Amino acid sequence: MIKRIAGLILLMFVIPLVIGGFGDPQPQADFVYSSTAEHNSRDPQRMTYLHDIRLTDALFETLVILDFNDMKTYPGVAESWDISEDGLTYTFHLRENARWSNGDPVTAGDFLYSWRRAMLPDTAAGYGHFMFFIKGAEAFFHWRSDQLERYVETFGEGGGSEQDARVYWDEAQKKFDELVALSAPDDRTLVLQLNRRTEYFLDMLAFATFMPVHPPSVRAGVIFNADTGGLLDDPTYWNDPERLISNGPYILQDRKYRRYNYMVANECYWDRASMKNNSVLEMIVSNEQSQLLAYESGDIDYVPGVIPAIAYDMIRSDRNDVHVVPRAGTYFYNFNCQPTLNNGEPNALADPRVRKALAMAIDRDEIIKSVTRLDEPPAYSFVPPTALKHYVPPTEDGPRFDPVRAKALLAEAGYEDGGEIKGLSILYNTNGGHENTAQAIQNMWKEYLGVDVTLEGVETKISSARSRTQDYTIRRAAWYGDYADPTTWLDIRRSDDENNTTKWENLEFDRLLDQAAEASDPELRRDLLRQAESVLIRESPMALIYHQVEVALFDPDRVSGLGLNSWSRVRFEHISVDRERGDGRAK
Amino acid sequence: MFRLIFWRLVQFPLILAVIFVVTLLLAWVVPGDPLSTDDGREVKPEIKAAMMRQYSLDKGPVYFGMSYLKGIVVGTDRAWPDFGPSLHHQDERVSGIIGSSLPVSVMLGSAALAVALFIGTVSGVIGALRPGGMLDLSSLGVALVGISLPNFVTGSVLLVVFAGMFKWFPVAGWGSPMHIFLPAVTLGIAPAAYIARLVRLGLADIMSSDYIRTARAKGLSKHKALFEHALKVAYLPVLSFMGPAAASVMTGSFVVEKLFNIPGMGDHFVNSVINKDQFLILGVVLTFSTMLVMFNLIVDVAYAWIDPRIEL
Repeated sequence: MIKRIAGLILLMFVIPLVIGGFGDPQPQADFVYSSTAEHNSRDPQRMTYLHDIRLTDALFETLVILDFNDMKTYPGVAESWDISEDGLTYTFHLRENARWSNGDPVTAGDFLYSWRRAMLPDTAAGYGHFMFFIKGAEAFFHWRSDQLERYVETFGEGGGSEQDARVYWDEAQKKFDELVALSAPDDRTLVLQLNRRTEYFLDMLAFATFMPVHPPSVRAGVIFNADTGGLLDDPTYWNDPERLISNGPYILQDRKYRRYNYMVANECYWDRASMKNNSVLEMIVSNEQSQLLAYESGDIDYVPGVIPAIAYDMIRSDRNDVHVVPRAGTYFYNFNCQPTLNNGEPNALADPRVRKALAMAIDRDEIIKSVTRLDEPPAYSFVPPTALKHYVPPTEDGPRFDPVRAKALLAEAGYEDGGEIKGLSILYNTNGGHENTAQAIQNMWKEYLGVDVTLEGVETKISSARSRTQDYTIRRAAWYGDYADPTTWLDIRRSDDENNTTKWENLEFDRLLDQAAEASDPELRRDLLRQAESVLIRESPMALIYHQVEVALFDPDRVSGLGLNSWSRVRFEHISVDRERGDGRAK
Repeated sequence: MFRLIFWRLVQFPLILAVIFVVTLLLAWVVPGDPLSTDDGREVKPEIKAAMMRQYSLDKGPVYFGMSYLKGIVVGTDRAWPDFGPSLHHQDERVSGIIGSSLPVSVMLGSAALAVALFIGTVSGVIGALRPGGMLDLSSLGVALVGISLPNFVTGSVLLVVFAGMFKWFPVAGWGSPMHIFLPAVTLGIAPAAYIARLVRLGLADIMSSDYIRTARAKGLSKHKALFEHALKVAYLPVLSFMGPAAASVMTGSFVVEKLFNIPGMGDHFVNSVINKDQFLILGVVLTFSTMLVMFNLIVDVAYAWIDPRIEL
């Protein structure tokens, strides 16, 4: 009997060896950084998350490189470019020695293919609308959407064949050439025309959506969907390290799901000679405490973001490897601005005075001191003051903490007693420590205004679904800039923007943004944007609370060339690590 | 016995079909939009519609279920069985995700079971040798603690002591046998305590039964009676416990995986639902159910192997 039991135990030990679930040991690299979550997408056209952009920045190179530290543009795949007098036509001259990792030259046609891919509704690119700056792109997008609807109407459920889908696609390709002002006269010239003068278009080109993909390898995974008529270009296929061909400083050598991404220098990269390291390893460590232990033991060189619970003590120590970086993000509460709520009740928040009173009854310094505790700058503007070089937001117009004035405003709006305002609640998502801030604000509104609000913590997906249908009164939100221009923030409060979940509609604000878009003089444009932002923050469709910061870890004695910036974008090829140096803590 | 195995195998697809339908409907009614991003950014309605079309989410649960089923049974040119793409990790196919996380969890799970069986059997037998003695009381105490402590406490203590203070084991991660020890102990300690109690109770009970007394009276040594006759019977409840225990530890534990940063299955049970990743939800639930049904069958077969008196 003992033998049988011993056999059973032995069997349990043997099973793992047979399965061999350990896989390969983690590779060694010149530079190691960590991430707390597995990537959502490595597809430049499809990705939407910051940690994804960080990876694509290493793998793919755009026409123009934006250095987020000095906010200047540098030649990337394009060695030079001409901009027409009216600021509408851009001609990019591609460098001759730009190569894909398999040795193929990077051509203008590759960019054309990739950008068209972003414009296609088939690709369902989250940031596809960035392409709409290009003349005709939006028209093409809608044309193709309509065409696909026509396909389904014509062939019905599952009626079409792959051949039918191909015929539609051929037609779409012709339509693209006809509609979109984007062309490649030869392999090394890319010409495009914009809808209107866009001062920051070169900066935008640094965004992942504008990165090229290698057309032959993407095409190899394309399936024509006979049911929908659409192109199914399958990222689970071409994006695999075995097939992924990139044109940036690195290639994706190996990856293990939820363990690591291992990148080595792309030997075909045109600027290979000036790269400061040969390999980068991204370790995926979902547990923040383990991440910290791995950093302290020297396994990780750079931790891009530490959670507040851990960061709080660290930033108060005298360590020189703890870096507090302001981010290009703002934390705020949205107000539902519709005249009536979804349940038919009148909405007190439709009155700007009520909204402003609430915004003025938030003691931001107190929240930063005792709740968030990372010395975040209090927010008096929507655009973070440190994010942009040339734009100074009108912080003087932002509602300050002033309970007396707030009470007066409320009285002016017809509420002598704050208790008369009924039915308000703060909707927030329960992951990420938003509850404490919500409680603090709940108390402040009660104490300073007598306004009762309830708290509603729900899951992220539910919170965003309710926000979309205005099924809320007050909701926690945050916004990070995508590109280096005030419009990346201000545009989301346009009346017709899908991100304007407050349903705040202000014609003057829209008009100022339109005027700014048409303005050819940069100074005038910035002034108009400043006026628009001033309208926004005086009308308070949201209560601005603070600008977010990120606490990063790296030892400056060991790691050089790692510039921290508000945009959390890193150029890995500039980084070198000297593991012999540094103090006793990080060996 | 073969008849039993045959009938179980016939029931197999039926059970899975019921689980599939129930999970599909539940995954469908969970509120939230699988394609929305966590940072609250809205995508253009046309792009949203295109995404829905691409993943066949626009035609309701029946159509979705049928095409999903087709992928599993027939497969696609990407994989077989194909559980479809993940909605949250767009570069992954669900079969790839399960394919990379399941071996990790099975490995960790079997190591944990080995730990549980070893500790459980040894301390159960020791306890039964002299019921009420010091060793019995102390093993009872340890078992009580083992069952009561949640594994994030056990795990954290082990981590701080053996990885942090003594540095005998790596802090976290996966990739070598050293990585498996602490999580296996963490995961195995609760079932070990349970097994110890089962073995001890069973042994104590049987050792005082008539046939053992007769055998002892005829001169059979205590050890022989215990190990060769009593243990056999006392072990049967352990086996019935092993089936579901194996399925549950081998499909991963969210807490232990998070704590030790192990890329196993546990994470998917929680996060696929939070992300409303319907493809992944169905994939992991089907995998788990298959394993559960399979382990129960194995346990029944093992019953007959350990105790030939039992006819199936």
